[in-house]
Amino acid sequence: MKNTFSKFLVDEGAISSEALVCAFIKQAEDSPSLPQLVKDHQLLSNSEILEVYAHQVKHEASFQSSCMTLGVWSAELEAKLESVILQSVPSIFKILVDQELISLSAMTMKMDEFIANVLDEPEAYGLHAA
Amino acid sequence: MTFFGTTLLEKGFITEEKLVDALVTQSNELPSPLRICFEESLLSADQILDAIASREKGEHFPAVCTRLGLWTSQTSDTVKAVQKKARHPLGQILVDQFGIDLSTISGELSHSDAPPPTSPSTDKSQYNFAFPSVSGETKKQYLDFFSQSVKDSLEGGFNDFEKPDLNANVISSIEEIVQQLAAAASFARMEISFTVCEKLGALISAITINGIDSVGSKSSIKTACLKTLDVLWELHRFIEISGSEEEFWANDISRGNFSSALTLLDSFANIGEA
Repeated sequence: MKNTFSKFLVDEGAISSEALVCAFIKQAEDSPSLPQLVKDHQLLSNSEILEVYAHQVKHEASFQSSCMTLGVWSAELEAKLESVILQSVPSIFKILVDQELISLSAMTMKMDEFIANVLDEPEAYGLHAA
Repeated sequence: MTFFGTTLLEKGFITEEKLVDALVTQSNELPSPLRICFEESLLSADQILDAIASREKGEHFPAVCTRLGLWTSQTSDTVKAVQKKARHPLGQILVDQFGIDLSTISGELSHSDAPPPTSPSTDKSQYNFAFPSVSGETKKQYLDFFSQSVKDSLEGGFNDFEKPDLNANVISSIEEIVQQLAAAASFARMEISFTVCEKLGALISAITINGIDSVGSKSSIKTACLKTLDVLWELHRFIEISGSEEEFWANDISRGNFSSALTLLDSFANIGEA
């Protein structure tokens, strides 16, 4: 498991595992769905989207796997999706503060500690020492 | 394309773009796999956080769980079942979002591709009705469609069953009304009403195909149909008052009436051949 800041918050007792999961659920559900992104950014045509839905209904598959099976999922599509997802997914840390699961000042303090840890042991965080 | 949306497009009820909008709306309202795993205790909070932390760029939650060996076929089945139960019927979204008239769609689709049945097994001991949240407008349209005059037409038709000169047009008219009711109930996700309409429709179809005399005695068919109509109307009353079929199902007497009516309908051996 990666040593992420959110894991650090849990390990330090700043938030509970359950609270963090709830924040991730909110993040997932506040983010546009894959079909929404595909439609809004016109990554597939309407008739292609309908074919994907028809496949989903028939095979009880996910939208993505139906896209793959039907051959409409490409590396180019994935790259475009990644860029729009980055713009549209709300920050987990903003959700934690907005939901009052942690105060902004406590979060900032923990961030300072986390950065200090990373600087002390960069390898433990997947980084190489300068 | 072989799903319900095709029929809507072919019948000209909706444009391709609006159908995509409706389907996307339907997808957006589904609970996420993440939520289901947590709320159904399929994974612990720590397992979920492990999965999220291990996620590669662009990797979806089920995919990373699969990679970590946390996603079993049981997990997948439960997620699908919960999402299926939570999915709002496309008919409801079309009514709410695009102002499409339920009775118009039901009438057209009763002749072709009604939406897939949402009712559970027809084994009476296994009824497990869900009472999904359906908008007030959708319910209202179902109730408007199943009006007093529709009930009176059916009642009159069933009473004609015992007449020696029973007209084929009467059967045909009843069959059409029952098919429309089944489609409307399916759209409005009235699962009990749909189940009853479907059974009644099977009996009427058997009469159409085989003739009333080969299905059973006219008197017993008439009794079964009138009793079934009473159940449908009782359901109508419950929906009108409480907005749901749930209170009907919670009521021992009502549930008993439902079972009796279905037992009577099931007693006609030729139903399955229709």
